[in-house]
Amino acid sequence: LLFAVKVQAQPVCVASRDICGPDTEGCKRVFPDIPSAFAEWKRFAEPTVAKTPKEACLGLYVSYERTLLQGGGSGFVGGSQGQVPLARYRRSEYLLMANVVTALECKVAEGGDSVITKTRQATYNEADVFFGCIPPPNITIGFFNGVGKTRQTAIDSLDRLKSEYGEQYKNTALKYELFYNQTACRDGWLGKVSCLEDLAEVFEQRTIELEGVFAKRWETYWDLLAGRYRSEESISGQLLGLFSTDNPLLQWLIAADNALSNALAASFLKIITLFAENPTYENRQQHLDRLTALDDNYSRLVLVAHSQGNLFVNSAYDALKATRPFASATVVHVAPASPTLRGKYILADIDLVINALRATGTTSVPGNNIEMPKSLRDRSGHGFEATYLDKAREAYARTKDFIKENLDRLAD
Amino acid sequence: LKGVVMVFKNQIFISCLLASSLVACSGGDKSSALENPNPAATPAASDSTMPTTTLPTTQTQTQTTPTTPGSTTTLPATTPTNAVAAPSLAVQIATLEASGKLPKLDRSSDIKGPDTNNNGIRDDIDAWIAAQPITEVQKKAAQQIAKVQQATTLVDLNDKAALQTLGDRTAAAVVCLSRVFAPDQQAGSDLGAKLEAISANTKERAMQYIKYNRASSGSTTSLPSGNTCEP
Repeated sequence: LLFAVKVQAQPVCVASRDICGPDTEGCKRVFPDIPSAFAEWKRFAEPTVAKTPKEACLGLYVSYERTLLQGGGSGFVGGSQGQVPLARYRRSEYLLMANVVTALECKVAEGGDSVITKTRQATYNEADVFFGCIPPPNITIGFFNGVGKTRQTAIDSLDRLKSEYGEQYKNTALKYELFYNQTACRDGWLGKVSCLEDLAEVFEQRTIELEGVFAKRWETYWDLLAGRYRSEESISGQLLGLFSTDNPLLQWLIAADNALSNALAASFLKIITLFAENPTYENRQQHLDRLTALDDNYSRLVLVAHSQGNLFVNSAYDALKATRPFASATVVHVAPASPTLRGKYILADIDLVINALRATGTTSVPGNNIEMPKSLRDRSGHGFEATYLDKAREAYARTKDFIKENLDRLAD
Repeated sequence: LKGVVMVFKNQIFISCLLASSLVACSGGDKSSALENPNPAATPAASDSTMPTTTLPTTQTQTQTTPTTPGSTTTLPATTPTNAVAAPSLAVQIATLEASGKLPKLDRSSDIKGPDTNNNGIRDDIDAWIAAQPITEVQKKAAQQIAKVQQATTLVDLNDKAALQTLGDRTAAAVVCLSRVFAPDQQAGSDLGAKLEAISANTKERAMQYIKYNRASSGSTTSLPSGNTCEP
């Protein structure tokens, strides 16, 4: 069965965002089937319904064969004229199989009439907009944070990504979203105990030393956790700078840092085990709900995961694809220790947390794929910004390029 | 240098006694802490300033120091003999705080701490922000994030809506801080991290802050666009 819609010689310009009539629900309306879409097309083709023409306007000429493949499935229906099919599976309940959509660019002449200026194949987005009244194209860069990150520092990492890619990529708007995790590492008397608590215990044990000067100086704990205790931009670095070179403060900090790094790796190992036993261990449903909502709003997804965030991204991504196989989603893994991967990854040879995991005999860790010089400002070699987005070292370009490749895949 | 090493070894010795692992301290077992359930008892290992894969939790030699600008106070080797003459480390740090070279922070066990003007920011943090060599706009952005940080330690952790609001406020504050320091966004990020560290600066505050982060696990937060600085 082949439908073809002939556009009149003097087509009505329908600006892409204006085709939602007053009876639609915002811009989320989708047509239940092709006949409905066809009816809408005809309705909005009427001059009386068209919105105020804009200087640059657009008409769509549509031909299609069939639609509504429930429950997923694969294989596009071939275009009636051999052109690339235009199906964009946005919802499992609504799989529109449009084949050929021709865009008719036009301009508004004097007196309000419109004149076709160019005929071409419509872009995916133009067709999407026509069929479903969807918003303009957008990509959400989702960040799944690494081990030991507070919510604030994870948001800071997200903001760093935004500073790299901005709010627009080609013709596609970029949005940024944090998928936060702060995993429980074990069960305690009063419920699950977070890995951050375990790390705090390690710090507290060490505060007994050195006259106990750090027992009430927990700002140092946060500096150690962030790997910035030797940076002059930290309180601990400021403190160090006020003492001479042979002071025991530095010795203590280095030892505490190493103890925390070991504990961090141990936490990581626990989480890997927990996820191996149960992929839905934590947060999967919450993250999946948000991914689903973003897909409902036609956002394409570039998911960037760091460290333990890779375990969470795998879990959420798999759940999304299980229910929405055609969701536009890709993954970039940074410093992964996950047994399986969903996209390209970057892992530095100086990454001590991952290397410490290997030392335990963990075989699931992927191989290093970039060699980097060490840095005193980045002792763990594992930081998202400090290591993998450090502009002075090689990993920066690689990480940025991987994300860019995924943006290229999804952007208009 | 030798004196320092000796004293430091004493500290290691004490540390190991506390960890009930004297054998491990004196022995040559260099197994990874991952294989050792008690990282504090990991034996001394590499002398390198850069840790190796098996991370030592103690050091046996003096490390390279950071090239931090500013004045230095010579800390004498704290051998038992010298320890009598030299002020303790705690006293030296207290002196530096009193002189203004280090921030003088409230270290009471009260999670909220003093906030006499009820602006949602601890008085000592208010004073610290005021003393920073930054513009008024940047100070305002610092106050915005400090206010959120204070709120995170006081929020009802069972109130999911309040937790979400705090996530949104944190995102707004981070974006604001980044904006007012542009193009040097790193400076804004550093300031935010400092404020986070000095806000959760006691065990009680740190543990509460950890609980807040744990309660936020699974949350999602959108990064806002535009000017997110509070008026």
